[in-house]
Amino acid sequence: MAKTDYVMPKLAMAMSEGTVNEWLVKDGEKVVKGQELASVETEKVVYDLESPQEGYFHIIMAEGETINVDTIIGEFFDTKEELKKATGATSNACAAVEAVISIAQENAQASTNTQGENSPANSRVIASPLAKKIAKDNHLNLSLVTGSGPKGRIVKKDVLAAIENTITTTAQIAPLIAPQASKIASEQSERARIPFKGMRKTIADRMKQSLQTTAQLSSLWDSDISALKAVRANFVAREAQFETKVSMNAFIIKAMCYAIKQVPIANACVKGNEIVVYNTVNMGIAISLEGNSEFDGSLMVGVLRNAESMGVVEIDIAMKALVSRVRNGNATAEDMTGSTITLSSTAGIAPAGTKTTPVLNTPNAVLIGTSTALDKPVVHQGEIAVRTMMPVSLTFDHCVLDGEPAARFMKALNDALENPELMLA
Amino acid sequence: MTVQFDLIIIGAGPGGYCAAIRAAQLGQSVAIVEKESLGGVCLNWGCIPSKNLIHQAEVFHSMLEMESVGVSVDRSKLNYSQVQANSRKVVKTLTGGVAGLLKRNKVTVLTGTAKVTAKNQITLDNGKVYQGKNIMLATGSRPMVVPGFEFDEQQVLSSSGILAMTKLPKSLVILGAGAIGCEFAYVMNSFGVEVTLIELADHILPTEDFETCAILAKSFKSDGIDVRTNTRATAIKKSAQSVVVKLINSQGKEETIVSEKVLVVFGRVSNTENLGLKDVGVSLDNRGFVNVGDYCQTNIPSIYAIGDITSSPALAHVASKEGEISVEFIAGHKPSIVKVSSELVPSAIYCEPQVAGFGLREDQAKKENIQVKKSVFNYAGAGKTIAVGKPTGLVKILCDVKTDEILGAHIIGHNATEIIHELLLAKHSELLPEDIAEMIHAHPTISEAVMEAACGINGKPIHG
Ligand SMILES: Cc1cc2nc3c(=O)[nH]c(=O)nc-3n(C[C@H](O)[C@H](O)[C@H](O)COP(=O)(O)OP(=O)(O)OC[C@H]3O[C@@H](n4cnc5c(N)ncnc54)[C@H](O)[C@@H]3O)c2cc1C
Repeated sequence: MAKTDYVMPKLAMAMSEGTVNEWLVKDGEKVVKGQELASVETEKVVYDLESPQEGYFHIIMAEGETINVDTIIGEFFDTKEELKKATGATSNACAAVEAVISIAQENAQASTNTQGENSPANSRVIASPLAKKIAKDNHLNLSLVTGSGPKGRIVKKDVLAAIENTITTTAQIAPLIAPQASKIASEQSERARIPFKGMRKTIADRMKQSLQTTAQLSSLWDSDISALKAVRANFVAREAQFETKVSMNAFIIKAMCYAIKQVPIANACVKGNEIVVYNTVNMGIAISLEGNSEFDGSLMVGVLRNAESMGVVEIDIAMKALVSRVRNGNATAEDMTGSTITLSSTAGIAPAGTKTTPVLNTPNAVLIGTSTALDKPVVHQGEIAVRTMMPVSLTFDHCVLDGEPAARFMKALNDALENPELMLA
Repeated sequence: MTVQFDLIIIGAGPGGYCAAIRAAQLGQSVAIVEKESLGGVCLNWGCIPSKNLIHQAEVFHSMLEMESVGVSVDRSKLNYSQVQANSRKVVKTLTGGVAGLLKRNKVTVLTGTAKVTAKNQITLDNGKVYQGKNIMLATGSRPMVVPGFEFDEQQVLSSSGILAMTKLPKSLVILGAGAIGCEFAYVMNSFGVEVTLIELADHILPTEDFETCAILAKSFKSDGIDVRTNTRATAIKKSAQSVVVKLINSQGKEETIVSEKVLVVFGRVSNTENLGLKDVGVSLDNRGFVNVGDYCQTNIPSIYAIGDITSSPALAHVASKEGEISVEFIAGHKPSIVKVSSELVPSAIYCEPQVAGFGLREDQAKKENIQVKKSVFNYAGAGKTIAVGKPTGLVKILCDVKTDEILGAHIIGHNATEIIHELLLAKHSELLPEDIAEMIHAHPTISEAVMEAACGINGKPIHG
């Protein structure tokens, strides 16, 4: 395995082509795994590609070229000698590059002609028949899978690994929405027809998949966050010092980390035939996105990694950076994958006191939903008092945990929200 | 002064010599030590001479076919010492070839018995010391000696003894019906020796598919071999002219057979003694095999072990592959696999009819409660087998019920050891039975039986 081809990766379900805006390495440079190779632009998003391996990297695709996914854009060589040998044979190599480019252009043409985003004409997926069959049976799009077989062929083990992973991957998509007036004269006047494709379809599929493959249910309660509000006010007063106006969500995340410590099973995912319980808290945060037009707003889950090791200020800064990366379309794969538990908040949008029961972000076993707090009369220390009550819901997968640990988790979370000093524990 | 090599290999069998050549091709300086003859058991006292004898036996046996067209052949002049000499000639050609290959690849060949005397050092029996950045053990195996059945190589023979034998006995009892026992049963019977084949397990070739073995046993019996399964040999007694073998069957019935010679092929033991392994701390398992991890590396990182001295299947092609994986790793490359996976190793037994197979067996599937789809196609359904007078045999394919993945395949019949590879390639490359079924096969060939069997997984063969 002296040489490994490097192709334009499919970074999102609907991505069919990409442009290398800029190579971040020099031709022939030795790169290490994880090093940024290139900045790549898709229809909507700019990504930095990270090197999947180490080796001497030979650039094939010129900057500014737009090519189909799975087209070779570079090559890794194990040794300098191999690099020299291969790239030394210039005339042939150049011809090959030209061939690649012209094929790519042909393909690009073909794909714009057919317009189908999943049209097989886009790129030929090399996979073993067994891998194809397993992928088909599991409704897995093979173009999302990296092959480990000879010459990058996708084999059974790649598909099995991908099936396991896709469950955790929220795809990023630039929906192509074409609102159009109804062509059919009908009684109702239509405003738009939105095709179920791209992001809309991904969201739809994932939501249905969540409801169909888990035994999820929700419990609702109100937490008295009057004390927490006061704590937060102290932080807000020190905005200049912390360089951020610490949000309520940062405290909620901190409180969730506290509750996970008490009830670890709440921080778990279903992976294949197993339940994996994590030490690390990778907080999935539901993020709404504005669309280009009236109807193509969407939803993505960004992932705040290692939340358990952060203080509220740090959480707040990291979370805001994450949200802005996601909204601006330059989220990394790390930002989008690997959540272990989810937070979904409609605070500030929904009317005060709204109870929500969001759909689980599979494979996470638990999701906490919060909404706009409401000042209302409650019995506090034996007296009727006006307190700030935040609606909280816990949606959990009964396949993973039962009512008893779920209730203990709610209790722990409520404890921390009502007694913010516990977050110091 | 000691000489320094990148890699020193002990033992020049199919494991060692292939590893040496591959390592040299990858730029390593390599020495290989051999105490007897290049090519190891395989070339000298195993695969090669035995296959030559089988070939000669086949030719001798097939002469009988001529009688049906009026040609009477006088087979009485058979000169077995010439048959044996032919087999040695073949061996010589091939060992000479190995010597040439090693030379061409600039591998240093050292003659003598080697011992590992430090983690990076070996010492020969002539006292010379050599340093190797890495050391590979490829010392192979030898016939297992069972107390009471010790070889004298005159009346009580090992597999090497029978390959060296220059005169046919009148009768032969073979103890052990594994691959080697079955092959010699076929050879000796074909040359007119009265053969009795004894096996403790309930079928001959105990590690092969029972259905294929039943066909082989039937064929053996109709050729005149006395096959006894579920039977244990308890003792042998030698007299000047013959050997008396005491047997007891699973019902407790005792019996004795008198035979001119006895071939004892109970199994093989690894050559791990007197190699200095204990002193340098190389770990062995309780059966004396060297323990290895990925890339055949032992618990001492600079020491590797391949072939028959490890617990992987004792086959020449396994030894060679392990050698290749191991040296690629040593030379800093990334082999595509870290170890040989036994489900992808073909077994091949070369008597007529031949037996070949890999992967899951039906009895094993039953025992382990693995749901399978099964398809069996009889040789007689493929026109070619009738045309060439070899209608005995079958092709069996076992697949996963959900994915159709080929889990195992077993063939008995003419040319089975060649034909199996189509199915093994399919398994190796994750092709499905439908790929084989849809591929056009030349007519008439025995390979059509493979295609038909593949058709049978999700449909029906045309000729079945
Ligand atoms: C009769 C018979 C038929 C067979 N038929 C087949 C067949 O058809 N197909 C098949 O795949 N397999 C067959 N086998 C098995 C096959 O021969 C072995 O699996 C194969 O030879 C193992 O290779 P190896 O390199 O591990 O060891 P070996 O071939 O055993 O070679 C080891 C070598 O190391 C040398 N050696 C040992 N110790 C030392 C030392 N201390 N110093 C120096 N040299 C040393 C030995 O002299 C020997 O030459 C058969 C075996 C027998 C006996």
